[in-house]
Amino acid sequence: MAQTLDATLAAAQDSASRRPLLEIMSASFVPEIPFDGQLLTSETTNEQKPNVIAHSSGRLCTIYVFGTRYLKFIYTDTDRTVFTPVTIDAGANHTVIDASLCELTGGNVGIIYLESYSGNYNLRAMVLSPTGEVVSAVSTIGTHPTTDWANAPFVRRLASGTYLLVYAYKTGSTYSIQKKTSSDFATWSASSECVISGLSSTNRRDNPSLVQITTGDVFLWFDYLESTSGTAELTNIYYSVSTDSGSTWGAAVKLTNYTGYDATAIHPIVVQNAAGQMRVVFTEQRGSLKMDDTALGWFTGDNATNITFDPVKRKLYVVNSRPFNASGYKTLENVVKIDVDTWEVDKCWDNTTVPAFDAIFCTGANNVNLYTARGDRHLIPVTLSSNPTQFHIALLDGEADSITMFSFQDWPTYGITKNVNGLSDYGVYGGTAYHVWVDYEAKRLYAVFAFGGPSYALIIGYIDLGQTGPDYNFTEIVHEVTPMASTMFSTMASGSFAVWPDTDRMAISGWSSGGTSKGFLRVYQISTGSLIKHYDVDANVGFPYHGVHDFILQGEKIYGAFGYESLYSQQDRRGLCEIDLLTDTVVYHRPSYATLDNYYLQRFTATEDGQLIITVNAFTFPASTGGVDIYDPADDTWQQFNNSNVPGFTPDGRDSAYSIAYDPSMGTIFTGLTNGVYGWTGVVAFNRYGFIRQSLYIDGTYTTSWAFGASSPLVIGLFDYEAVVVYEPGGMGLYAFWTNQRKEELSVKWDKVVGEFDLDSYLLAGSDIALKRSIDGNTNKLEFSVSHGHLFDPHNTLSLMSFILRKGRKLSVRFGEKVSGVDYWHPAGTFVVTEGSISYKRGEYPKMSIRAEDQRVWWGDLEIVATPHYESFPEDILADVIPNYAGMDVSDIVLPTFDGRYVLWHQWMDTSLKKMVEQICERFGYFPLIDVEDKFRVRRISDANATDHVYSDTTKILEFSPDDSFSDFTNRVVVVGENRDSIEVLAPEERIRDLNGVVGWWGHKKVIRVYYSDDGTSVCRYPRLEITQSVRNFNFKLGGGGESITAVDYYEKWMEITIDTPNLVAIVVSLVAAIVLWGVTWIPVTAPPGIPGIALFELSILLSLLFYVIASIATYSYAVWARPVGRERLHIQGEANDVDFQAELGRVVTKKIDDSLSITQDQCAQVAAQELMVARLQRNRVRFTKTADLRDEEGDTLQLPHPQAGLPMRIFVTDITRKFKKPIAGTGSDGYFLDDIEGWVL
Amino acid sequence: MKLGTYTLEWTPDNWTLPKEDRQIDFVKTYSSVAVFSWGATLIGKKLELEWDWMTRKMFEDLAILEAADTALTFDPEQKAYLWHGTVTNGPWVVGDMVTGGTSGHTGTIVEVGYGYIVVSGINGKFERDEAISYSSRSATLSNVEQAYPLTVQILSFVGELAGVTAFEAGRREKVKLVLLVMGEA
Repeated sequence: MAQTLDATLAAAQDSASRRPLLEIMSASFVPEIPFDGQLLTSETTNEQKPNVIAHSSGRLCTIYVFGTRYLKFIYTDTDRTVFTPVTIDAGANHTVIDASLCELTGGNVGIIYLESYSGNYNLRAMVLSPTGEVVSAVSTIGTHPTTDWANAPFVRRLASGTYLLVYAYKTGSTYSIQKKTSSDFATWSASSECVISGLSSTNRRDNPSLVQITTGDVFLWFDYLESTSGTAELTNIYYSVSTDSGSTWGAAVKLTNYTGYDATAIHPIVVQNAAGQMRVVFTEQRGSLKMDDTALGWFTGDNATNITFDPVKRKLYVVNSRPFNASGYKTLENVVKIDVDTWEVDKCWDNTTVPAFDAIFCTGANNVNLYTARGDRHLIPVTLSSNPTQFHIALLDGEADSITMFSFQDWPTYGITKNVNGLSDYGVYGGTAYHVWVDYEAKRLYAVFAFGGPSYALIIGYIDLGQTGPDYNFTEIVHEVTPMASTMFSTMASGSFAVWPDTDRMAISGWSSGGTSKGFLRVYQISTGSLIKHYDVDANVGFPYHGVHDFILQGEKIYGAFGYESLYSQQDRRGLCEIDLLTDTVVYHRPSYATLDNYYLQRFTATEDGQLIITVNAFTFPASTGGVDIYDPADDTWQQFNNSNVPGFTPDGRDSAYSIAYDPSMGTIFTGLTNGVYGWTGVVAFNRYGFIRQSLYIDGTYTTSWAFGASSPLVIGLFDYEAVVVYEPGGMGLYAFWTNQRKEELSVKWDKVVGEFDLDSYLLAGSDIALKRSIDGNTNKLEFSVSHGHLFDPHNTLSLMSFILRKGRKLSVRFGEKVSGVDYWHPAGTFVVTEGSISYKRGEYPKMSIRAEDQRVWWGDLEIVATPHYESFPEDILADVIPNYAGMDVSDIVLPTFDGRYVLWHQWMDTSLKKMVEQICERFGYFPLIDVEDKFRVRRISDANATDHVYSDTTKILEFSPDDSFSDFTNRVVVVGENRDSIEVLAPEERIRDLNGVVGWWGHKKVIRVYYSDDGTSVCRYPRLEITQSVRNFNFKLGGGGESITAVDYYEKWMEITIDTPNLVAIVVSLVAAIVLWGVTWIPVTAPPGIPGIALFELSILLSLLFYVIASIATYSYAVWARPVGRERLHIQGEANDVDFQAELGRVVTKKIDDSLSITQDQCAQVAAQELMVARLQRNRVRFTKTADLRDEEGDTLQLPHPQAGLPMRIFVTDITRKFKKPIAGTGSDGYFLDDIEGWVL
Repeated sequence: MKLGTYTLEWTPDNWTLPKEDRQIDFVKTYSSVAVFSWGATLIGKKLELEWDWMTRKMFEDLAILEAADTALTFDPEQKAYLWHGTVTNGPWVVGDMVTGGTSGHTGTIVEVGYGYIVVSGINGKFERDEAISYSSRSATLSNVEQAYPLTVQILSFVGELAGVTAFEAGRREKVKLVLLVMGEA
């Protein structure tokens, strides 16, 4: 029996009278705090500053500022299933600042809000019913002129019944927290100060909030401004305690201990759910986020030379390279992947990781050129270029976790073999691979190569990343020789490259920091490779003398960065260069924030609204003029971000930025700082729209005094702040509401700690709840329906239950039995919600159907690029690969020693985890399963397994039916395996290549090397030349000629054809000389009509001969035939025969199977026997239904009597569907708890 | 009998006893039978309340409740029939306020029958097999028949308009109110 149950529960399975139980719990796969949250509404009007209370009726009541003049009061039903909004209009020209609420005696809800109107701050009060009806209209309870300052009213009803209102206030230079009290929420006392010692009256205190704890003490929480530095402020959270219901207040106590200006604490809210416990929620406010190689997971090295943002996966990739190592060469430090929402390192790669960058990138005397190595999404290139000519590109796929090496040359020193073909060969003439650029959508890796003299060639092309490898073809788009002069070549090293697929254009630039070198900019069409524009100072005097080193295309204008030059009439050109591609005019834009000659603009990216984000980097640049600029071409304005206006922009105040990336969905700018000689290096994230703010929480406990722990994130987002929290009435569930900023739009988000949600009250009676498990490798499947579909509908944002059955939620299932009034349970597995469907139809109740599958549902999508080469037993391979790829804990892998196991020598490539696991299990006759306790196990498919469960009679059997519909007549199985040895295979002769061309009088001899394949890797033998048209067909057979195979590669990858044609150059020269001699002889001494006829005849003969010779050309046409050579694994095979069935049928029906894991004939025979057994058992397939027995599962062998003959049958269970149906009380509908089983009679 | 805040002018002529329905079914096997039981519940039960006739005002008051389309508290009758065994120091006396030993609920005896008592003014559901007591008197309950407040939703409310010759113009006849039990109030 596969499942071992509690003894009482097991005994109940045998009873004819059952009390079945079922439980389905919904939960999240990840901890619920920090919250991710969902939007409260889909409004585009700004929503912010929520406040919330738990009403005694069970409702939640929330209020927040909506737009400028409105408040939104949102309440739930008493079961907290649905939100209902009510809009409160403060009136025209009234600006609502903040609001608070409390439950009044009698159950109504009192609201206090602060507004500014007509030169005054007004505190206003109103009373609503819990469902939003106005009970008492709004009235003004306090007024201050706007020359003063007021903020953040907060009201609570104290245990004494008194309403206590506090708010922040300033008059003159004196700050205070003011209070007002009321006994009826209608009449309020005059404002008076909460006198709190230990604070300076000239320092701001803000965002006060109240909580009265179980002891009766009233805590007043607030944030307090401790000091300022420029525009930066240092604030911390403080509290003061009143033991007399707010009449007097104790000295201020500091909670948080922020000491710098880069991070501060504001907006405290506190809740208490039990005596002696308190949870403080506050907002941590930062100007920027910073990270360097001190972060967990980031290896040593943080010169952030290139950064790339993946907007889909929301990851930032940082390529770090050493500016100069000990040998004077640049090398790769590492590549880091950062989750921008949690600001934590996901992964780091270098030459020691798996996968790893080849050591040539990270060590040794090799230049790692990172001039322009632009990644896209999660494809991150790193290039290496070294003399003599060595071009290599490593492409990291940060999602697939793979690194692909593209090598344009062999490099035997490092054991590197060329795998990219198609790049023209210019020998060793100072070639350099300057730039690479990834186009993720087109799956192209562009690369720019330049070769020095004498060729001065420029090549731009791409590798199609759709190629599967291991060899790749490089397609040249631009191949220019003559335009490349030595000066252009020399400036390319400091230039840049960019590809703009949307406009079918790309460009390359050259730049020099000084001297006499002139830079350039060339724009090409991608599709044709044709040159569209060329700019240099000679062609266009408006162009910068030394060129542009970085640039970007916006519309029909290219914006470029360049250095200041006082000579060559360049003295008035500063800042940003703008080149109009339509008019070729060049203009310059000088940053408005400083008067400098050189602004050191560096790299570009663009915002979604066409503004340019530019890094400003100079190692010795004056502080406060570097950082990141945003230039708006629409109105020629500059905006600067650095330590002067972004608190804590960098840890050491260094205002210098180099690499750049942008998150358009949040408005976050990422920049990398390099070269630690001049200060801090690493990456910085800041938001163009303001602070980075995140709500955190701190738990406090009381023993002899209050002690508070460390802070933790309450929410996931870095733009989710000013959270308010409340515990559900009478429970421990925590609800949170907060402001979410997405660029300039503010919204209210909410979330709750649900823990496990019991679906019992919602499971439909009269409807099947089915759980199916099988041995076929498919996932276990759970299907059921629930009532209240409208509440579970994930699109119903007003429902508090909309996330309970959302795709991806975890469902934990248990079956059980009530025995003598006691519930006994047994787990039935954990599932992932994969589908939810609901249909709204007027007049019909909205039920929701749910489908869920076990965790293997993800395994089909878990792509395995390449496993290590295993030389291990099968169970050891499974125990290694499943935790690695599926993330299962090692303790959840429970495997036996496989029968017939042997060491597998295998590496899996380009497959999925699902396929890999199935292949291993099938090879040894096992099937994989996730058991009821969520452990990965395998079980043997065998007709010789011991019987697990004996049903001695038919009292449990409802229905029985033979079903051989899935079977066939297979009575022989042949399995073909592969030996570990390979043999050479010579294929029949085939046509390898066609060659056509022209030779002429200038020819003499031409040698053509013919590779047997484009990539030069194919091997062929016995080449033969088929001549369709020979050069012997010269237009006159002067001196003969011919063609033949004259050389064959030792490695059989190429052959050479030599075309031998007459060398007529000497004849041509002789004839020309003769004509010249004729002219010398006759022309100077004679005058018309004096040239003798014989002379003219001589001239005629000479010219005829000359024309005849120089007109002598011949075309040739050949076909190269050869026999391809390959190597194949030695195939071996084994077979198994069902002799009886063969005799019965009088024929042999063969099924052939390829199995690359079988390497001997015996192993093939073992697999064949296993497969033949399955084929035979399929012909003995039956289906039957019995009362459910929680001990039975797939892979069990059951014994039960044949319903007619009564003879015992052993049945191997291949499929089991457990169906639970509760009847609808009083309706006569049916109910049951049954097992539908399919299996093989053994 | 109250429905929401409305007290019915008179109780129905016929109405479904709010007694729990068993959720039970069986399947016949080849040689036996298997019974599946999930206990008993009132939740989901339909209660049909029928009047031969009612006044126009009573009909309209109930129609308002129907139109409100919200859950209501249905309080059938604050009486319980409690069957019991031997009464220690008995007999019971009308006016005794008995207390359930397990449930803790109380009620005042309004009628003493043979082996049973009728109590009113009860504040909760008595339980079978619990002891009840008052002063020195006590007994163990062998059965409880008690209608207690329920949360219900009106499923339907229909009636026929009586003819003009009826003694009260506009009165309704053959009135039927169907309530769906959502749970205990």
